[in-house]
Amino acid sequence: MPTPRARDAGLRRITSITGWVAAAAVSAAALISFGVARASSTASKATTGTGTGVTDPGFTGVEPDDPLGTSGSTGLQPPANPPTQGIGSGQVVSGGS
Amino acid sequence: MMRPSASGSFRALGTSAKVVALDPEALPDAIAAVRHEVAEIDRACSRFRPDSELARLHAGAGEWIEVDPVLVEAIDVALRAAILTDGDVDPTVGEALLLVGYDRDFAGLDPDGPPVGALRAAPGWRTIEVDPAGSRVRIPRGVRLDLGATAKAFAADRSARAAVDNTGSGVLVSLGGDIAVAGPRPRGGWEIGLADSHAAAAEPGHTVQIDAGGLATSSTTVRRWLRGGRQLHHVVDPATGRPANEVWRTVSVAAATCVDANVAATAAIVRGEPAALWLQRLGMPARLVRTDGSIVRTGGWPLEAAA
Repeated sequence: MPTPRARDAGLRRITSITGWVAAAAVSAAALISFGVARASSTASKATTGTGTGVTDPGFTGVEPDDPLGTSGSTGLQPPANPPTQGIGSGQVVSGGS
Repeated sequence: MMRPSASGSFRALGTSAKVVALDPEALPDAIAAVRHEVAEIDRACSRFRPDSELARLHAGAGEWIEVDPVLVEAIDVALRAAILTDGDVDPTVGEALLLVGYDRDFAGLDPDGPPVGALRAAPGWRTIEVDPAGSRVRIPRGVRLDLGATAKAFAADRSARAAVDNTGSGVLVSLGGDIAVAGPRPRGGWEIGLADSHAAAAEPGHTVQIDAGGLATSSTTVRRWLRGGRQLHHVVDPATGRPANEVWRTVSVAAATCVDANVAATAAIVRGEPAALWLQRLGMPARLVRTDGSIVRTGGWPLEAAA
């Protein structure tokens, strides 16, 4: 039959072990949550990257809801070279008609 | 050494046509080619000729009508313009133009008249059905097309190409100031003056040179008339059926084709203030003149030379 001193020592060991187990569980839960959140974030980016209507700060094109953005080479085409300053009065005049 | 170019003019599409050939000897054949192309477009697309293919399409509204392939192509060009401008250049404004009083060739239009009645938005380009393989088109009853915003430029592009194919000479074609160039070019490029009206002399110092493609100008200062004492003009906003608000009095655009230049210029008039940013984002060289005469340039459009 254990003495009261031995019983108290046993209880203290059990309490200590329980504390360590609880701390480890909390740490594991935190690590798992972080991993899930990170994976979820990556999946979300992949989705928006292939969807429409979402742009990133580096986006320099035309918004996807603009028909020009989906018509590619059939969009309004600028000239190969912009006009240059003329030197005379012009062979013809461009104006409203 | 290349000799100076030669030019000839004639009336077409309710306006003046001018053909410039880099090789003077090619001018007669170039003019003949342009005349032929323009006549084809007029016979297909005129909303004032009772014998046009467009008139026949209007008469058969509600049914699939087999029409000349030239009209199918012209409608296709107009629909592309509508798509690319989000409906700001829309061929279904025909009824709206009638309602604001533009109901005949402009030369015969009464410059003054009673107030116009209720105006309404254009029914929209999505109401038009095209069957290119069968050369057929169907428009709903009550819808009237006006291809004026694109047909002249379409004719200029086609004419310039045809003239080069026929002659081998470099050619410039101007149809009421909608300009297309093709083939070899003069040294420095084709010299084009700018003005509110194509019939006016170029504003001093306001000339540019282009080496290919097209240049077109849209303006609210021409084709104006009075109804009920109110000034109206021919650039109708499809969203309202009314003449577009006059933010820009004249917009000139250079593009890879005359059609694209004209579509961009007309859309800019309709869009008003946001048009400058729109053209800049598209990289389109443009010169936009406000009603007060101040000028905004986009896409590398050059500064005016000192007059």
